[in-house]
Amino acid sequence: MTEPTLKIEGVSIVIIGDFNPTIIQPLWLANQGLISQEAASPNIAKIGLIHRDITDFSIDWLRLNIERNKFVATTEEESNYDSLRDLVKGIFQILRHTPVKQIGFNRFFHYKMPSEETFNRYGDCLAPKNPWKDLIKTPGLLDLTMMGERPDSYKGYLQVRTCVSPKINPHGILIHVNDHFELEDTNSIQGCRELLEILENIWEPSLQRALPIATRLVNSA
Amino acid sequence: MTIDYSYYYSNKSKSIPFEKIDWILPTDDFPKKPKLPIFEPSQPNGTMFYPSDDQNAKLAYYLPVQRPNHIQTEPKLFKSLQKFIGTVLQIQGDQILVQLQDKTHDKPDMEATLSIEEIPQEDRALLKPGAIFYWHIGYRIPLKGGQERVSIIRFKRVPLMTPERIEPAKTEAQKLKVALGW
Repeated sequence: MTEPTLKIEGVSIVIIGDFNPTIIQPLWLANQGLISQEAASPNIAKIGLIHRDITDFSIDWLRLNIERNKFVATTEEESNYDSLRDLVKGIFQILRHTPVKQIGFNRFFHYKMPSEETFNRYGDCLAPKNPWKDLIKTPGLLDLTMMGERPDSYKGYLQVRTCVSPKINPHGILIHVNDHFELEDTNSIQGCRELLEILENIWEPSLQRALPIATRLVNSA
Repeated sequence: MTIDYSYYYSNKSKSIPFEKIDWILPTDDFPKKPKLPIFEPSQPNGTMFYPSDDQNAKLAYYLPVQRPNHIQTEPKLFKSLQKFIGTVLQIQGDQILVQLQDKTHDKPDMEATLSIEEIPQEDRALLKPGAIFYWHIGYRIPLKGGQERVSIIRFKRVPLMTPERIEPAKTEAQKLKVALGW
């Protein structure tokens, strides 16, 4: 192995707003036609917690975690990315009066570096150690976040974070691309409309721009 | 092990409104026999505990919540070779005529015939002309190693149409029609 290898990838849709976590649970999703009845059955749906402050469960391809002010839907297989978008879109088409403020498409990539040398070189390349070497003993990059402007006319930013992968050991690197949108009008119906428009129009371009960012970064070592 | 909920069932009228006890996971026979344990915030992640009778009601009411993280999925990578977006055109017995849009290569749309066996059992109820599906062909590569070639078809799901949803849509369409002067 001479090049970094992609080992795990996934995508999350994160929405900030005001939610009622107890509503969104497997049986409700099945009754709304957004997942199958089979997926909502106890054989497949793994429920972590359903409470007025938090709902957390997974079905075979999806994990949902909803708090009063945060909604997170995650999947870890590329073949499900479009289904994830459809599910979130469906939820907010039904709960269209939900006030939402921000939305983020987060793509994450866990790479295994071919050697300790490349692993260290990656950190050195992104954060040179010269300014640090007289300040602390054996400095090493733990976590780095870079932020930039959005490439389209939406309000928000693009944030790229890289750190040591918690899932790949040894020599694992995590790259996380956060495509963040600040919604223009956060009062109920309008907020949800913009959210649905972003899910419909920007989802695919957003996914497409994340992979080249990760690939170029990881190969910069 | 089953929790004894007798405390707050016997006391619910005087102490705790029943609707406040909303941490109980839904079961088919809810609210008669909730059986599930509750999450213990002071214990290591994922630990459940079973409260004694006299703790039940207070805990149900005051239980602080921490983000659970005990749902684990086995990490695996899907390496996509080809992706199509398909539309069902016609169903003839156990054969389905579909139109496929190639999302991997810049090629014109094509028509193909699929066997109904290719459609996952859970999605067959959605099978009708006009239905949209995603078709991925690729390799599934578990973190532990090895790989398997897979073909995954998943139908697009949208919210079920109910009279409550159709009426506002009709009203909105009517408004648009007037606004456009049609």
